[in-house]
Amino acid sequence: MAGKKTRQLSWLKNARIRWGILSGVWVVLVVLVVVPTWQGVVARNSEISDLETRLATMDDWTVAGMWLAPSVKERTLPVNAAFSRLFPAEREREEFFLSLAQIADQSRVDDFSLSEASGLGMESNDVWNDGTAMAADDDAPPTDGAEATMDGGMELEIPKVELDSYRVKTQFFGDYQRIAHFMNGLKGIERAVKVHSLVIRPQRDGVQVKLELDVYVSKTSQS
Amino acid sequence: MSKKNGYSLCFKKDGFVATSVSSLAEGGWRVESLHQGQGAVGSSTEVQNFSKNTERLTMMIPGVSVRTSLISLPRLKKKETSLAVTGWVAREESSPADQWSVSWRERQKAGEEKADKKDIFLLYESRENVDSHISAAQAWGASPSRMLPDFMVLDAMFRRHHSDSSSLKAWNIVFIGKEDHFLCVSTEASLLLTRPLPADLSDGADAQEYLDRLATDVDRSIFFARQTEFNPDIQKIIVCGDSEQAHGLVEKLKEETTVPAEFWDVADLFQMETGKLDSTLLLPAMAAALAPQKNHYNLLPHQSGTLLGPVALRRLVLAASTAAVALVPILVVGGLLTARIQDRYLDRARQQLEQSSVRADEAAEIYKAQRVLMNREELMLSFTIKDADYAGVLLHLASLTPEQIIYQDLRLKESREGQLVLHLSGQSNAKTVAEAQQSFLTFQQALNSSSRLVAMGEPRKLVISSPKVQDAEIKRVDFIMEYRVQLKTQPASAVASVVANAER
Repeated sequence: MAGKKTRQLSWLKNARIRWGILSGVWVVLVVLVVVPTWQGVVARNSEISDLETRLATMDDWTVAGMWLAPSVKERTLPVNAAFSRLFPAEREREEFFLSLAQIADQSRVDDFSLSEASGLGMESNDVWNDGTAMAADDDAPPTDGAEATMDGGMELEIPKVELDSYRVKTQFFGDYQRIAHFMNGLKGIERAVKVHSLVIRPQRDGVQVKLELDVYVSKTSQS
Repeated sequence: MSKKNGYSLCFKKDGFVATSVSSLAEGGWRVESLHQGQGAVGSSTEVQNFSKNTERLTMMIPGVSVRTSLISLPRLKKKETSLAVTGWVAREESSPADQWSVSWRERQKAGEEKADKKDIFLLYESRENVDSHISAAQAWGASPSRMLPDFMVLDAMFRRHHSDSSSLKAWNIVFIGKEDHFLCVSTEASLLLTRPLPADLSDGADAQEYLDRLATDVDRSIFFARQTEFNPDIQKIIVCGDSEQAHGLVEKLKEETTVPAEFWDVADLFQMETGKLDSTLLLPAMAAALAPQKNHYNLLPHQSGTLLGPVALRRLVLAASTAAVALVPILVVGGLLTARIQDRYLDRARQQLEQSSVRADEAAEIYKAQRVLMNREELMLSFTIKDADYAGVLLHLASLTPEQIIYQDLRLKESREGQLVLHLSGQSNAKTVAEAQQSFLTFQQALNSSSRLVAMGEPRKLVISSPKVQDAEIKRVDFIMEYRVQLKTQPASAVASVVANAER
């Protein structure tokens, strides 16, 4: 039995076979152990690099936030209050009309009439078309606000500040001094108002004025 | 191409023989190709293919000029032994050692070892002959791996492929071909001596006389061998080659010597489609058959396969193997350690990232609030700046207007480009044309000089007429003009004032 075993293992005495077996074991170890181990190391290294980049970005944001916080806290209340006054969330038409009427009284103009125009967005390119010329909705001042993607993968959705507008037509009669007084009085209204058109026609005993105003209100959506 | 294929190239006086054989599973060989030609260089493509198989190509040279000897040398290392052997040849031939190509081997036979000496069988050929054969081979594009004389081919063939070779202690093998005739007296340790045999000068006319001469030479060679130091007991004479002559010689030897003689049909070992191998082709076929096999003798000059010597090469291989073996655990342990360190670092980094994410989210909210505030401020600023001083424009216009000018239509409107445009339609009335015209020109000059108004081209309308008003004729200039109004821009601090007003 022992002799048979010895004969079975006698091929191991051949140097080439021994070297072949050792080389095979070496290759198997390299392929099955060494290579996968180092592949994992390389993969982890890239993960670490990615994490470090993200950490650096986060730190930058944290520092920036620390710097910004006091300034934002200080400015939030007054800026928002001023904005709400200039661009009220509601149209607050009655209050605005009342303000205009008060200015008209103070300017002592006659035959003062007020109305809200309809058909916004129908204005042509003719500057002097005084019929029902209306400001287009997109005439409103540009509003900022968009999505911003920052370095390091932080995505920020910046709230949009959008404006809505409506048009008010006024008509009155007076002399130049009263008209100037009325126009000057418009500056006292704490609302975002733009004169769309002003038409003055002298008549027998005074001047007929047609004035169109664009009034802007906010439709802010703050997330 | 099978690895068991063998090739041989044999140059003779008047041509060449190129042979290719392949070993058969059942024993023996198949002759794959056999080319004979005149001159030194084969022409066919098939023959040229020999150059591609130099690893198993034996170049067989005539044994006539090759010398053999048996010498005893002290037990030395291989390198010193080699130097001693070449030195012996140089002394024996009285010429420098580099003029000889020497091949040698220690005789190995159990029971014959000497304590302080070793017996060496050597064969050598002049370097000039060897070089000329090499040049002939190179003309084929071939570089043979081995060069052997014909008698060494026969001796090796007998030792490896004759059934009695292992049981005989000494023998005499005789080759009789149409062109080659020689004998070899050998022992199981090595060849002892070789002798050329005479050719049949009668060209077959007196065969018995020729066989007598051959038998005498064979007998003498046995006698001569017995006189040597090794005193071999020749147990058998083996005759091969041309079948007819060999059989005749065997019969003759049986009659004249006491040593048993027999015919060895070497051609039986080779299969050929065209019949049996001719005796002239037997030796080249044997050389091809031996080409893939290991052989200790080679008359080709030693060519080192590598730049390094065997010891350096062995050390290099050992060092490389050690490094390779050591590299595996180093790489494995290094990789595992690195992975572990990386894992720890990753865990910490992930925790830091979680904490930083919270702080960064808070910062992002602050940033968003900042952007909203900036947007609102920008909007407020834009309205403040665009807040045109319409009353100021009208008052300024009034201050520039002479009393002769009467407005018929005055319009102020913002164009799509954001410019405020003033449209003036009016008339200048006077008693004379000159006065009316002068009033208009004065008005136009005043408007043009104003810093707040920029003329948009020439007047659109300019008409001089003489209408009747209350039965009186007056002179009138009607005009329509357009001006761009330069609004007073508010300073950037306007926002601050707006905000300040709101706070109040």
